[in-house]
Amino acid sequence: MNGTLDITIPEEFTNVALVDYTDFSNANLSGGSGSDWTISGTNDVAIKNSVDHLSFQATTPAGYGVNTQWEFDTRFTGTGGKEVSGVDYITEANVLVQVTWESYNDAAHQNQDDLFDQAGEDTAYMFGKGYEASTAYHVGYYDGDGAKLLSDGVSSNSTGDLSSLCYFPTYQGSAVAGTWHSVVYKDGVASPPETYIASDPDSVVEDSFEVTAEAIPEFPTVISAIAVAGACGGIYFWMRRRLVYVKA
Amino acid sequence: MSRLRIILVASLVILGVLVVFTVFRPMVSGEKYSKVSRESVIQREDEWIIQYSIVNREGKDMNYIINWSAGGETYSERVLLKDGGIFTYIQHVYPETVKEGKAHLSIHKGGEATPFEESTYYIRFD
Repeated sequence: MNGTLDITIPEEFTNVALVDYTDFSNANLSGGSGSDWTISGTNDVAIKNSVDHLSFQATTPAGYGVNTQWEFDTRFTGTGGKEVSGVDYITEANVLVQVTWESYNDAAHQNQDDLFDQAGEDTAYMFGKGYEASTAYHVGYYDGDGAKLLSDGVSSNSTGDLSSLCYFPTYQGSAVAGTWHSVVYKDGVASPPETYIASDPDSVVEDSFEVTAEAIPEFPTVISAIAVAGACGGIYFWMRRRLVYVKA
Repeated sequence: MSRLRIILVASLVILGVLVVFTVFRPMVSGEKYSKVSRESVIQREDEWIIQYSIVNREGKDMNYIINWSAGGETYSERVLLKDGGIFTYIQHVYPETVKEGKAHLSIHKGGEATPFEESTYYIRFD
């Protein structure tokens, strides 16, 4: 009984608020504005099992990256049937910041698209938010067989946005249609492996999209048609010029 | 059909066959090799983009190692390219990453110590 729960949340978090404090009805939130947040509360009833509920929400500011380890210092002090000496950690929460990574069929990243099945849809424009600001990454692209086609060394901008693209016709005749994968790796941590690894723990995030054979043509049809037509027209014109008209 | 027209038709047929063979069955010398192609260096307002492709004509799957260094930082990546495959490497270069205005790239084939492709880029941001 009368145990005191104190949780310290780093000042970098915003929109901090209590969500469920059923077992700590007098819990209050203080701090922010340049100092760490603190949630304090007293348990309502004696803790008889290992579970008491107190939850809160918090938002990381833009620019903080994925896999950043945050520590929420949680301390519970109280007395009961057993004397407690000192302060014991109840738990430490590690927060995984989720980033986004999606494919689009336009350079402005307006049309999210997971299916590239037309001759005109020849580029997957990748875009995501929530990355560490101004940080170097490599994006690996893998075809339907898991073969690596492209590695794009690109950095996030000052607000943690990351973008990349894959132009399919480059891989005419060599890439396999099907489910392609775009996987982000942070420089200094890992580089895109030689072949696709599903849910690679070394990766930051990945996205998959379908690429059909129509999007990676075997041969540029337009160019071949123009070339052959031009050659035929040229030969015909030359031979016409050599015609000698004979007076009847 | 006049003889002239016959010659015209025959030449067009031969031309078409040659075009088809050029595309679908290109003549190769028989020599096995790897090469770097489609190399391009593009300048944008706030970055340079260096891009190239590796083509594997070794007759078998090949491993490559790409090494990139700029501004004291180094990066290395392994590539497994199947026979006849194409791999593209793109490196965006930003002002803060090229302190001395120089970047170096080398590509090693298999376990060879000597790179089969090596380039130094002198980059300046105005």
